[in-house]
Amino acid sequence: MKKILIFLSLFSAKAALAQLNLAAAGMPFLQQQSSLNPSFIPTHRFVIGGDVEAGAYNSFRGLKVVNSKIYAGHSADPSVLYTRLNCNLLNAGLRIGKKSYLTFSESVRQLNFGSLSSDGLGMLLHGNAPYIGQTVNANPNIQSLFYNELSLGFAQKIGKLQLGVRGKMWNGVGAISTGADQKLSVLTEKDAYQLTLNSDYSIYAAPSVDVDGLLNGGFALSGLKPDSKGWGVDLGARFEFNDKFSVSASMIDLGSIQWVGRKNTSKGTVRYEGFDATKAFTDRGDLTFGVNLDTLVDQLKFRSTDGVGFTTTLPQTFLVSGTYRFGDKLTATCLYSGTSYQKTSMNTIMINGQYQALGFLNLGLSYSLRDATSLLGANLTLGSRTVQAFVMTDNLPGFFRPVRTSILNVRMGLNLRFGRMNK
Amino acid sequence: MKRNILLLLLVALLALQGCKIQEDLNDLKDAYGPELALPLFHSKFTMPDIVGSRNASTLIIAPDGNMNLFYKSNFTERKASDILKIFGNSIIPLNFQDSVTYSRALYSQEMVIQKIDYKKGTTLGMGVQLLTPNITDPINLKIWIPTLVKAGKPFELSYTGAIPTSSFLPLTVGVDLFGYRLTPFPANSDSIQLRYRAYTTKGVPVKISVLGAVANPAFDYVEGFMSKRDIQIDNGQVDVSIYNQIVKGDLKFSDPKISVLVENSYGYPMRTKVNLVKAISKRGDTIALVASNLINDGFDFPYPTLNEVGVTKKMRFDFTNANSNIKELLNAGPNTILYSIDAVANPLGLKANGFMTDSTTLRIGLEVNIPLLGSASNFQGSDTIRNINLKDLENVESAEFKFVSDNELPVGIMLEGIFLDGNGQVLDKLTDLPFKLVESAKVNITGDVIESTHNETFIPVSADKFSRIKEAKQLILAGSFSTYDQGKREVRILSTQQVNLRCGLKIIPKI
Repeated sequence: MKKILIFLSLFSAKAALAQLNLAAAGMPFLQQQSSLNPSFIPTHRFVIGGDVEAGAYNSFRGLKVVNSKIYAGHSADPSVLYTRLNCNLLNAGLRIGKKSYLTFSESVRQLNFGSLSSDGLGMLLHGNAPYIGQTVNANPNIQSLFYNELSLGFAQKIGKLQLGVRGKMWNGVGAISTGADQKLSVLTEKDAYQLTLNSDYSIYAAPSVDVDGLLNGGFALSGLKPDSKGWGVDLGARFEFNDKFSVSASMIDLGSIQWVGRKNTSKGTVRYEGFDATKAFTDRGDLTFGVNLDTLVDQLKFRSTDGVGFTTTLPQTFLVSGTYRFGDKLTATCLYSGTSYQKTSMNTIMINGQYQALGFLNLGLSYSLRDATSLLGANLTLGSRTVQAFVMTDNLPGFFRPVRTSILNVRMGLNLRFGRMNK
Repeated sequence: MKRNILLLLLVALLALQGCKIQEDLNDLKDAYGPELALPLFHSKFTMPDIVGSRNASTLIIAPDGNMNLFYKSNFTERKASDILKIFGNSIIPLNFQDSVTYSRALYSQEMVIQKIDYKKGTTLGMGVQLLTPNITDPINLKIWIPTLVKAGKPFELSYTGAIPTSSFLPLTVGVDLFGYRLTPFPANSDSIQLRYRAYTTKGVPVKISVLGAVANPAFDYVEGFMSKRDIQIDNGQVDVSIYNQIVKGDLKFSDPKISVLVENSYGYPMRTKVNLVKAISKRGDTIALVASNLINDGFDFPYPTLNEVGVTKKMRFDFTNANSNIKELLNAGPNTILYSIDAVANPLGLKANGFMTDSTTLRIGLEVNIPLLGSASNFQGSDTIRNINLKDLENVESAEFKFVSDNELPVGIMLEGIFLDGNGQVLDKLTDLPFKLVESAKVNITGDVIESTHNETFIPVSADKFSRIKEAKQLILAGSFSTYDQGKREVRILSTQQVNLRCGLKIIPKI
């Protein structure tokens, strides 16, 4: 129960979907900026580090809280839940000469995405009783990916322009994927609450798991191996107008992963009207009162086909930012980010300020507007010349009221830097 | 010191944070309140579905949909071979010495036999002794019975040889008389003629003594005159199970009928002798059938003629509203109808021949015919549904049942549900008072349905009630049935009229 509540706690009102932790875009002293723009070139000859990034975001349309009760309204846009976990095991870079930078990284990533129509979400929260007489098009879209990423990047400075590219090889370990255009609707009839399920729905799973297996917990993580392959690319550019002002732009995670697994398909209409009590009334048979919800899932009659190929994309992000240095200690960055995934789009405008408070301490604050939500982020970097430890979040108050927030993200890690270079 | 204060502050902050998270979770728990609406059951049934499955009877459906309930008794019967002992003894002697003799071999107390076909196992044995002395030559002997005939030939024994004078010489131990027909001689008497011719081979007549007997005389077919006699038949009963579930209330049928069914293969005029027909209700009340002179005088029923040997004649005699108090008898709600009906053979004592065979029998049964046309007013019946399981409702906070019915039957139902535990103790009722489950369809002045009805009843069930009934193992459904307009008008129930009953459930689960 608590798990459900915590899961649902992410579904509070006034939520907005967010994506990667964006504060790193305003932290040019951090190797991790490279993950947002492959044209990044650090100040040190060799950098090696690792970090963990986790985030949970939701955008639930039409939800309102009235007198401490959550009510689902109606919205044409679906509601979305998105979680992401990136374990960047190794993030290394080597400057080649003054103008080139070669990077290598390895990470393990896990991504979960779910979208539900606002009525579908309403039905999840309030049950189907408030929707008696209506057809609820739930159309759930589920994406769950577990993959390993190896990347090789190169950045080159050409005059005031820096260009970067990073090639990514994705090794898919496990995936559950539904299509974005698929339909699943429920009608609760006014008569005696008979349920009509209309489906044109497929769930792909690799490794091969059928619907019952998915409902009973998906696949176990042990025993999985990266069987599937995918390729992607990041592109980035940065232009320095002068020592103080620069602009950057990048596109992240362009590409897809090809899987081979099981396709579970349900197509058709089923009507469930409870059990037939005629024998109980006529022949004095046994009578069991109860509802077997598993029966309803069985009614959908998923058929499985093995060896089916399917493709999953990743959230593709476009960033553009401008950074201004106010002296040696203060830097401000203004950033726009747009992410699209599974026919949803997420837009952010952020203003970030970094202050070198002490030689070893850099503090940052950010203010962002994500769709209709404003967030206050913060970051802290402790570092000597060689060691850097950092932690950042785009929503600091969220950590104090995690149940009520719709966005939580954090990124923390450690870098080692060697051979500071002059610009 | 500073460090300790900082640590204390940190602990306080964490504690506060923990409280806020818990508070937020509690708020969320309060805010999360699903209500589910689910179909529970559906059922479509017609009167044949209910009546046919619950009654040991036959439901006859006419092409126009009208229905009749039939309750039949087992036939009680009497075989002729059980009640008529044609021959008093198992041995009929045929002893004679004169060459022409008459014997009363066809004498019977039961009837005057004109013909008899013997059954297999009836045998005739004979032996002879020479009475004329000093005969040394062989004897040519022929003994015959002129009216004991098989395939057109009279029974005959022939012998040539010595016949002793001191003892009997057996000519035959036992000839099976199956296939032989014996008729009296002279006609219309109980006697038969026995003859012999005995001569020596030289042509000298001799006198002999014949010692014979018919053993185990039994008839395959017997024809003759039987005087008036009573034939007693065992009592019988009919169970009218439609009234089994009745607790109280009125259930009236417009045009019931009790039929006496007779199957007769006696070749004699027959008349019933109705000793009694009475109905016994569940409460123990009795009411007898009254049918003017039909009970006292009886009624004749058909019999096969001499040309119809082997034929069974059947008859049905109906006691209806027109000739009896059958309506009053059946509307008293009987579980059982007892009857004692005997027969009288040749009631008028006619001097005419009839017949019987060894399989002749008289069978009498009773049939109750109830057309489903009538009225009911608070006719209460109950039924117990055992082995109910409410475990799935354990996690229910509260609920509301919605019963929906579309009814083509001109019968309305008020229902009460009583939940019992495994020991039969009452846990709770579904509702305090009976609720309307089904509303009667509308009928016209002739009792025919003209419009079906739609009914919806909502029944809320609180958490307290759920906590009491979730352990229930049995459910008593007590229904009160009334036809249209509370039974003030007679209605006709057709086989095609259907009740479509659905039940939905809204539940608020426990979080």
